[in-house]
Amino acid sequence: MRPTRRRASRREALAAYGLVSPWLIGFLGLTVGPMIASLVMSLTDYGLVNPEATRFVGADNYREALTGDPLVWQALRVTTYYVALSVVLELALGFGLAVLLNVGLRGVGVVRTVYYLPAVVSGVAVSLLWLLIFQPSSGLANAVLEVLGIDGVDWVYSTTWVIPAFVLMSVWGVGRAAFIYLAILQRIPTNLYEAAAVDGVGSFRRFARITLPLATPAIFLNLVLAVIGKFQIFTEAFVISEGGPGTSSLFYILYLYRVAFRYFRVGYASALAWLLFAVLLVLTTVAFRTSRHWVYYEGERR
Amino acid sequence: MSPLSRRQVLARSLLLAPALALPNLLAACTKTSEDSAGTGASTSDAKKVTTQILVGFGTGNAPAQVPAQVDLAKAFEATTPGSSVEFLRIPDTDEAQRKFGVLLASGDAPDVVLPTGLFGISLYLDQNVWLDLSALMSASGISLDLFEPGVRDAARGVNYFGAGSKKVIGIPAGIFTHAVAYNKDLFAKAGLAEPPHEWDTPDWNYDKLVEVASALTLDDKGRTPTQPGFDPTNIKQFGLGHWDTGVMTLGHGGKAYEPGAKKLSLDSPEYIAGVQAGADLVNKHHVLASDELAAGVAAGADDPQLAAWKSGKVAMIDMCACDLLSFGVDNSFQWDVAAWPRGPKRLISHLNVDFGSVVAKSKGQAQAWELLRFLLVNPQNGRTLSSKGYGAMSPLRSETGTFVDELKGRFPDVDLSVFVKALPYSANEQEVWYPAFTEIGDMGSQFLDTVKQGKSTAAEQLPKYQEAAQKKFDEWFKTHTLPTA
Amino acid sequence: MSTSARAARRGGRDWAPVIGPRATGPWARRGSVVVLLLGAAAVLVPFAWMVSTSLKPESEVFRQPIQWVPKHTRPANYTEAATLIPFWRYFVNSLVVAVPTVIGTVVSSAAVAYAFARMRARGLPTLFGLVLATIMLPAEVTLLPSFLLFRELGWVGTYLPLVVPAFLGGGAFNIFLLRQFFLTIPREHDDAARVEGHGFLSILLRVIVPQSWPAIALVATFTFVGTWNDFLGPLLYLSDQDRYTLPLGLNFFKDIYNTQWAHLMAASVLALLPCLVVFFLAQRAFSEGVVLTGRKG
Repeated sequence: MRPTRRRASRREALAAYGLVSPWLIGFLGLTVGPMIASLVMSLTDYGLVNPEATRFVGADNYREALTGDPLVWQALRVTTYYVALSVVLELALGFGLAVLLNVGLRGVGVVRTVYYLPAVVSGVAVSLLWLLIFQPSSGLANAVLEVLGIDGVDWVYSTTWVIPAFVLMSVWGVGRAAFIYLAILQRIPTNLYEAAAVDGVGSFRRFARITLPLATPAIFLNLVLAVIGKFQIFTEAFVISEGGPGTSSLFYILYLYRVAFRYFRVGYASALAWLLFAVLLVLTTVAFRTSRHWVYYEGERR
Repeated sequence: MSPLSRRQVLARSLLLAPALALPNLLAACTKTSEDSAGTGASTSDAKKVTTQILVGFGTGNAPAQVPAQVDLAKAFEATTPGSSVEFLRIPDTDEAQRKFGVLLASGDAPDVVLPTGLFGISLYLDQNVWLDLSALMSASGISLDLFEPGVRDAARGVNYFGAGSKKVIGIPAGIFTHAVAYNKDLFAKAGLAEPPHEWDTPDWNYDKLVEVASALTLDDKGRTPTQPGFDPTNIKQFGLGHWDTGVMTLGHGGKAYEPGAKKLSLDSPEYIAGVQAGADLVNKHHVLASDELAAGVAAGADDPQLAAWKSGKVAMIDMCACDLLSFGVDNSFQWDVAAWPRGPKRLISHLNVDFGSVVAKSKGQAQAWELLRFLLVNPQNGRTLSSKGYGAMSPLRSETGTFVDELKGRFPDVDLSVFVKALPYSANEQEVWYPAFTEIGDMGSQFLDTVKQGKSTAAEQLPKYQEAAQKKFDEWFKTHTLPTA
Repeated sequence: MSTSARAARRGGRDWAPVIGPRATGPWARRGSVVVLLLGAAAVLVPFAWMVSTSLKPESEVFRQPIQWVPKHTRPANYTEAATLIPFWRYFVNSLVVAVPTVIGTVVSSAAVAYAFARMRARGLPTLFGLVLATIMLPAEVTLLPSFLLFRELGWVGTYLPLVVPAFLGGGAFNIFLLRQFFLTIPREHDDAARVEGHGFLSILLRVIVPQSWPAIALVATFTFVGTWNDFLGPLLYLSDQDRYTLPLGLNFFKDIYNTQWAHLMAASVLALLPCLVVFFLAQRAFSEGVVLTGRKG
């Protein structure tokens, strides 16, 4: 029943493309273009300082990254360790927090805001704060441990504890994930719960059989985005540890930055970027394939 | 066109126009202020040629150092009409080195970097960043013979350009030798003879050093490490504090790279022995305070080694002439300097050397060279700049002795001649370039940290380091070739 | 207005908490409250530590055992911090970058999202698919060539590389978010306006935007926070110290001033305030509203 729209379809198409054009320009100029350029550069030894001397090297950068550079594997190991730990904790704690926040408690708005604060602040200032907190001899972290009767550790100055330190920082910001899960939880319609309550289904079973399954699509999406996002940690590492001690916190992007802006090997750095992209693609594909087993899509029979 | 679409177009342009104008406005504002930051021969005033000097590769930005640099720059401007000298100051070395790279990449690099330590030169050596000054030098009748022998090879970038190369990539601007500073009071209290001031004294070697340091290391019950019941977790006084274990590796004959070699020698027996000796000072002999241990005797300071020395809890330190103004002032105890001990294979102490280099991409090379010549080759200026501008010894052979005269008033009880007599035994082989220099240096800590902490041995870790480093070394040759002389 | 939209505006009285007053016994409730409050306190601890440190004299920062309330408070740290580094210049620089970026992002992504949500044209769904695909693209793949592109344009050293991209679509995620939100607004409103003779743009401004403040506030807030705290962008593109934004300035402070922690914390507190202010202002706009999906983790 929309005759006006059909008649004006060419005008509409023009208007639509007009509105979308800024994005299109950005997409072509700042996404597609650079992607192609970066792919080409990864096949050369483009140097940041001396680009005139660039030569084509074919797949040599990729070969070097995979077989000739132990730091690439170290960076992947370090980053994967961090991502695995922080995503799992964020999922568990975030969802748990969301469930708790969903209690119809008065003043929950204030509490929610408090949990959300770490997400609002970030970057260098916060990294500096945590650097202070993690000082071994006089930092807050060890002081708290002492109160609990546990021996302090060297945190960011120890090869064992540096990644857990970064994970702890990430967990501090769990409010952001909780907020998302809360929104998901709040979309589940009441009538399902009421029906279940009437049938005498206990609260835990209600949670397991109603809440969780219905929340899985959004949890899944959030998980994938979280993994992709956390793989790209940079600022905190740059400010706090610079990859140390040794190379125990040499996150992938930190290494990429170093290769590009300290060793000036832009060609090699481009190959590293594409390698990361490949890793993330593989992870995402695997995630989507396995999601069928645990994500509940509306319209499927359970 | 129907009224609808005209309104559409109008509305759209009204909406987008201010949004589009903003970046243009920003561009306009930022562009104009950027023009004034000179790049090379940007003639901001008619006929004025500006040379921009980057200061930040190691030293040069302390408030006490700045006036001498500025005064000399003004003197240059006075003697060279139409010239203008500008300083680009970046206080933090890492930041300065990073930014230099970015500036080079964006085509905005300064003309001169002065001073730059050898590390800074090495960082950019194989990217053809530094201008070869040999032609300009011979045109002015100047040669490197004017300077101390120890700095000439570094000024020629010998490891990269080859031993016979005539290229010159930096003019020496200042040198700092190293001596052993010792706390006279602690020696007196222990009844020990002070270490010798003359270089190459027989008997003053690494073993003797450990012996002396051991007698000066005391735990909370006053026991030394060789006495039974010594408690290494409770050391209250250390024989050695701020120290240079790297140069001891060289003293053992260990060398990472032999020029012209196709392989690194990080796993040579000498290198392993040298690294292990350094680690043993902390973990086996317990005479050297690592940074953590120093923090234990001098609580809560930014520079634990400095605080430990100043609190009189450390008997001997490696003192660079550049440390005179930090470790040497306001000490509540009597102190003096002595020669470095001899290692099993050679007697060597570290030499910090600063250069002034011209950036190859500079658009005002001629004036940049004239400026360097004015500041560094002219004996009076060179001496003033090195001592007052950077706190260094002049690298000019004609001015070597002036170091003592300049500082005698400040340090009347210290035998400053030790620093001068160090020259024949001083070399900087730790910051000299070799292929994939930066990358191999960066990966060192993951292997060497455990050795330093006593959790592993040099014999275990160094072969691994060698393997990983050799990979990088070989990769370098895949994309570069060493230029022939 | 339809019932669902009205309910959405009200904050969703149609939704049931998992553990609600009827759902579980009082103990579970009380336990939840206690855990929540403990957790909230734990979250606040670092902030409190930051403020506490910022008021201490330098010599007390590393005192052992730790002290929460400084023996001698030193509010002078704040005024001194603001002069030790050119704090207010960096502050203004951060604003110069953040404000246009937020405007550009909101305007740009709203316009694009509107097209995807409300308009029909051939190829539009494909383009939207591309938008979705870029959400998953790590920024690093385009980082280096973008740097080189901006170098060719002569923009390195200026604020342009940081601000201009905001006007080119405002980010795939924001487009996605706003489009999803716009889809929930009933088309009847559009049709009503069209009958009155309004064109597409007019409908966007008069009908869609007024009903979308929660989502727009969300986009604006996160864009502001993200830009204000952005470190890598300024690190790459700003070489002139006078142009540094706050994150660069703070990092700089850490290195050159022998880490005067108390002053550094004071400067950090000042640096974080605008984000908190923006957040609280926007809270009112979006906490009550419907948010269809969340932000990137």
